[in-house]
Amino acid sequence: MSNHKDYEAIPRPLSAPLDRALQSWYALAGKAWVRRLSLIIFACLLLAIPKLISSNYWMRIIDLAGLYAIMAIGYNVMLGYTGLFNLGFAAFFAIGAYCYALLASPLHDVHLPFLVIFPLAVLLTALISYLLGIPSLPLKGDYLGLVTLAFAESLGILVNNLDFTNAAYGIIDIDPIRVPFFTLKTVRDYYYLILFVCAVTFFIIKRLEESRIGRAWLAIREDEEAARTMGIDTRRLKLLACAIGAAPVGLAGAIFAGMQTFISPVSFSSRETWLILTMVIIGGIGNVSGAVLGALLLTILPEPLRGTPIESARILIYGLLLVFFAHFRPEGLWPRRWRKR
Amino acid sequence: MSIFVQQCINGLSIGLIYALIALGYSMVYGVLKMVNFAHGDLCVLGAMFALFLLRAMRITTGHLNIIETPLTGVRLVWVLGMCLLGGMLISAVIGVIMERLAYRPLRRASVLTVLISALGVSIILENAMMLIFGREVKGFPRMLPERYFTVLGASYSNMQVFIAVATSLLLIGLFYLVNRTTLGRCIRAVAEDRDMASLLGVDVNRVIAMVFALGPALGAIAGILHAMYYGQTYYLTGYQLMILGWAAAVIGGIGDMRGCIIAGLLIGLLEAVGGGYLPVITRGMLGVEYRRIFVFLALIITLIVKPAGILGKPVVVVK
Repeated sequence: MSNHKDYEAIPRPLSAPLDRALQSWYALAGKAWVRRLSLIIFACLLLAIPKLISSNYWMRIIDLAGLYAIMAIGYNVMLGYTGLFNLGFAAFFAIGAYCYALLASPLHDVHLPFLVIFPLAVLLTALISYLLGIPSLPLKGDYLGLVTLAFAESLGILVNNLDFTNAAYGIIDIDPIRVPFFTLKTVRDYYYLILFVCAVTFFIIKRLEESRIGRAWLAIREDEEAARTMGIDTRRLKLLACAIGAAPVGLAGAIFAGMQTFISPVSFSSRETWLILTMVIIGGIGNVSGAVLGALLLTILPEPLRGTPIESARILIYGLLLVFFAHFRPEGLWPRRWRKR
Repeated sequence: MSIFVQQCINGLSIGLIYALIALGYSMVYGVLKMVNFAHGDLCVLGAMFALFLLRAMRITTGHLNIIETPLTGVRLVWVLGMCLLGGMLISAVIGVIMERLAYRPLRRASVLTVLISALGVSIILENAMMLIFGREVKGFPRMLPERYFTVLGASYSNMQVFIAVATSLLLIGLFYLVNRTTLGRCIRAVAEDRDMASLLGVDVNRVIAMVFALGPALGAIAGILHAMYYGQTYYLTGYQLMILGWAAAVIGGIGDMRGCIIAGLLIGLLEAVGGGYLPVITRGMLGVEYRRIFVFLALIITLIVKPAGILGKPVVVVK
């Protein structure tokens, strides 16, 4: 596709101070005790957030930010590591959410516990994403984007019209999430679940990134021909990236359905896809922490603008940000750090 | 049988509109090897601007697709011409500006970066239209006085005849331009090999700018015809048109003009015939609203059976 020289050819006035700040942080984090201390402080802070924030409204926003972070981590596997342009995120989100809503609500009078639905939602989302990759990935070009986009549109039509999913009325009275010994009731309870899931996903994806598979993904993104020449089974690894990248999104969807106790097709419009895409681009392509940063920034920062005239221009601003970042900082605010050799 | 003929007529007339949109995708893909996400939105922009002109000329109030006084004779031609030309002009201008600001600086950047920029432009256009023209579904007047002809047991409206004539003329004009004129030869040369064309003295930037004027201008006509046919326009219609146009371009073989037209007609037929028969076959369980799913199925089948598209050159397939 391209190499790093091409990136360098573009003037990037934004980059210099940001890169310097990142460099000095990396220099500081090179010391083990700094790294450990900051990790402990960060973890304590995350655990204490429900005690520090008194308003339930802001707690809900933070919960949503966490869900978006889970999805951004997933999207990062496709777009960031492997360079796959998947545009079906709203669909995967919907699959997870409807999976939970159909199996734990009075609509069909099925009430399964979360721990049963959870693997089901994850596997189903991963499988569908994998299947979508099969016809489009062997071809060069942007076929994956088209296929996933068309799939998301078709799924939207189905969910909006089928009686099975209660059409446009949506599903109400979804059971709150029950884990053994505990039923999640308040937004604070959900915060801990989301934090746990987010941390586990983060850890798994980070470990994957540093494994053979992760390195193969990066090689495919940089130069697919060369990667194949080096003996990487590019087709299989791209399909794997599709499946693994979609799985967290399905999981986030299931938690979303349990948290809101009401879902309707409106929640899963293409807007969600653009939102997650913008998060990953702004946060940092190919860096898990960057993707999480993007998700937090884009969920929490626009919140004070709610109710002001700027709110209706919110998505427009996302579009401007996409173009701006594509031009001046294609690698995002907090890009992947390349290990020096 | 008459239902079948009727649905075929309906499908072909809407298919011609899709073909016109798909050509815009195909041409841009030809010269830049990228998908112009914003093309569908440029089509809708044409329709929105035409509606704005109609309201400025006090032809319609823009809330319902009703015309205050019926248009006839010279006035009809004048109003229709103004709408089409105005729409073409605004889409072409915005198309050229978009290429200059959002795509040209990224000519040497990675494919992914360009796609992200294109997606950003599409989001900007959609939401700018929402802010400028309003977020509600807008009625678009048919303009032509309603008349129907009956042939072979099926009825044609003069709207369908108008669509067929207008799109056919445009397609013939475009084929002439691409195959017979100097500009067309330059476009083909840039599509074949940009660097080589540049070495041989073709002003590549100018040719690409021309493509970004030509494609959206055709798209604007398609958008206006689409709005006239359905009697409405909406700022998010561009998203639907994008999927349909892009799918038609891929099914036809991206970069191939004849393939695009065939695929556009095919998609129109699939939607109309499939959508028309679906309630009959499933005894009312599945309705017309599912017609778009046929497009998705056609796309998947094409990619599996003949990934290069109906008339496309063989593409590189990674085993």
